Amino acid sequence: MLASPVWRASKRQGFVLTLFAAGLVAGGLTTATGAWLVSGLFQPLPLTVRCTALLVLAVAAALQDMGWLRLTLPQARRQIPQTLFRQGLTRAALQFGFELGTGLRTYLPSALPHLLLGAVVLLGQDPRFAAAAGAGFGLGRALLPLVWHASRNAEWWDDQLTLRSRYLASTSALAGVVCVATVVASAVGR
Amino acid sequence: MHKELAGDDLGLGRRQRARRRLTDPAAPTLLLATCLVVAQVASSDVLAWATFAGLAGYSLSGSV
Repeated sequence: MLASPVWRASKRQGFVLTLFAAGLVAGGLTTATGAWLVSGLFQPLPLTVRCTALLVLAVAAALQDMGWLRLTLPQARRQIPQTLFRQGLTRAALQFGFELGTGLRTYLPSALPHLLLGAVVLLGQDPRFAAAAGAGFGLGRALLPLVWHASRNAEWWDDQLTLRSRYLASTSALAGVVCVATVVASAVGR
Repeated sequence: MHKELAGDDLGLGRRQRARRRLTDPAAPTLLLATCLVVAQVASSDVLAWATFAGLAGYSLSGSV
């Protein structure tokens, strides 16, 4: 597992994690705002077309995450540069969190963020949904360092993540399909 | 794998075992699954979107 210098900081870890999580949420909200603006362009399409497209994307994303499909998904194939950490831990935690939270600045090893973006563009015309998606994405990314910190045993936690990574990827892939089905059902029912 | 995990817990106190269960990497996935069920029961579209997004965020565990 790659080790982030921010949330593995040895000093003031709780404070740094809070800033990091705040940055993640801010980054998620920024991308969600952009996607929400683009979603207006798709509103003229019939709801049936948008829902069908999203369900197809959900199945493709699940197959990709379970390793049954090999698509090259758009992502930044680089890590966030280390130069960011020369600005001090407080600013670095915020900026690092923000850049990770946008989902645009580094690797995306799962297809679910792409699916989420597709869902906001196709069905997220209600700003409350786009905001929930942005904040939820940031909080979801923040769960990893928060739970890792709460475990108080980094080595054990990293081992468990490695052991369960395949199971977690498959579970998340299937849960993603259920989430999309829920979102589509509510859009059709409105 | 399960034997390996169970064996790893041997010799731990009750509090440590509870901490390990609560902070297991699978725990957030279970929490999010519960949120999705709550969203469906309560017909809360906003919670369903937030849960979907939380799952997408957590699916990136291990990448920076």
